[in-house]
Amino acid sequence: MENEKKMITLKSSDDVTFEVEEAVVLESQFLSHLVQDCPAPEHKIKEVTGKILSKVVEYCEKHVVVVVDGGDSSSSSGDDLKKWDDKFIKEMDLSTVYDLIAAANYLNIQALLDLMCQRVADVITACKDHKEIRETLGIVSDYTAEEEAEVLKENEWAFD
Amino acid sequence: MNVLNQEIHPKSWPELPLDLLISVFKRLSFANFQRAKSVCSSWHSASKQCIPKNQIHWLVLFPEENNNNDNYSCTLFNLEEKDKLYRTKDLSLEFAKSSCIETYRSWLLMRNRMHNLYIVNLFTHERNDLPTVEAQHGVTKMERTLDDDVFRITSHNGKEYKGIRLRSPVLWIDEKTREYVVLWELHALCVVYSRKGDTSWNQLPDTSRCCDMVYSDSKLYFLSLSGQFRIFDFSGEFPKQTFQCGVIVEIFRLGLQLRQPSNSWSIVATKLVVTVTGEVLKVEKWWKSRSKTWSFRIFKVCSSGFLKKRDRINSLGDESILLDQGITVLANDTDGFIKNSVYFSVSVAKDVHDIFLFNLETQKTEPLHRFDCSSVQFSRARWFLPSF
Repeated sequence: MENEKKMITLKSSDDVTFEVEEAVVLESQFLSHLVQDCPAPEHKIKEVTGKILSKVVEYCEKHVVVVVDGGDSSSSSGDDLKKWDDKFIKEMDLSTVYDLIAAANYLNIQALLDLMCQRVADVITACKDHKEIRETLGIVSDYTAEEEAEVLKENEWAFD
Repeated sequence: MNVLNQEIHPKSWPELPLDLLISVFKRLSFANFQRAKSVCSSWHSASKQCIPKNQIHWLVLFPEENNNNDNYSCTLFNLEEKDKLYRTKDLSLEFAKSSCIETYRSWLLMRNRMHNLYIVNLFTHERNDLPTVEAQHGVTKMERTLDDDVFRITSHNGKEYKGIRLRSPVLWIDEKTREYVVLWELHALCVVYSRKGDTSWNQLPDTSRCCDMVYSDSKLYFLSLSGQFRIFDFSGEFPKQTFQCGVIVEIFRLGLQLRQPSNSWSIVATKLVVTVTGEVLKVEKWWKSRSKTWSFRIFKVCSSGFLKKRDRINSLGDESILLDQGITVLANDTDGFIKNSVYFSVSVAKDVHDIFLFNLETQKTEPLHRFDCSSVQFSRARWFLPSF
């Protein structure tokens, strides 16, 4: 067993660098392929900004399964991890959520993507109608008045 | 566009890639999904490629035909939002005068006062009229005498029957192409079907005395009271029988007999169920009138081509039976259905269908919900499993 943990440096689009253990990188399918195919010490991720990459690293570091000496596998217990996830998303504004969805999709981190999509679904669920959804997510409707009337008619029953 | 505002709310939510938007949508409840559809045009078009998360049972309460405000809309209730009632659009007086005889997702098979059938989508109001019931293609003849509105049926061997009995109705619709099949049994003589574009009802040979039918994946599964099990393949221009075997169908008791309190179990219905993997099950519904309890026995119906001894099944594993729909679903205890159970609804007074859950492990029945009918005026009620 290797005692020395292999470290990898990730560099964001705006040149912010993060030094992480290899195990952390393996949480991302995209990065684990990248690391295997190209064994350079530093990898530039052009699509993700430093602000978002720091969140990705924070999430992956928490979720990584740490292999301790002796071969025992331990990770934060399920309940703790869920609490951590809840706190992680509650403190996040929707703009960051959007960017994290894009980043998790690009880096192929399914659990993070699921978590972020659930957050958006929860936000939508908390809204009482389509107008509140628009307001909350800052969506400008592209419907003409007639189109909107038609769409609403189709779904009329779903509004109180 | 205000730059600051853009930073707080990225204007890009409508441009979220389709697959990501779908993974958000599929986490929404049915009603929230409907609201989200109306947000903008790209979300609306994305919604057409997505089925909402967990399917839940909804109750539709049909309008009374002599209501005072001339609005014939249905009231909707669902098990996820028990404190809410929804109203559909006005569905016309004709709808109020018709009765719903079967459902498939959000589609209803309706019979009007003239005994003619149509299908209508509860939410979009798309409607298809089906051929008049006397337009029959096959050896059994049927005519309608207009003056007294009586049907005269002449079977293949010359026997005459009066009146119309429309039994074991089945409805199936492809949500994308809107192709449909409607089937029912004509007077215990034969099963008739009509598909999109047909101008008459086509009679299926050798399908008398129907006990139950299920249509799934272009196949009709038919079980007769005399124990004939047949599979018809509906994928071609004409249905083709692809399998046949004998299945024991115990005689079941109906009506009067059941009202007498008794301590013994009796079979009250035998149903076919097609599983997610395409296996066919025979489900017997048992009832003990004194203790008012139900029980279910499930058997495998041979479908592999050779006769096997009938196999009783004691566990459905991760699946659950939706008895009204004649199917099983993969059940996940955390959202949606409870596994290893039988979901079934029961007609009681005023035709409210109570909905129950029979757990195969504990052998206990519990009510999933009893709707409080004092709060709404309605004529009849029915549980269904909607889709968009």
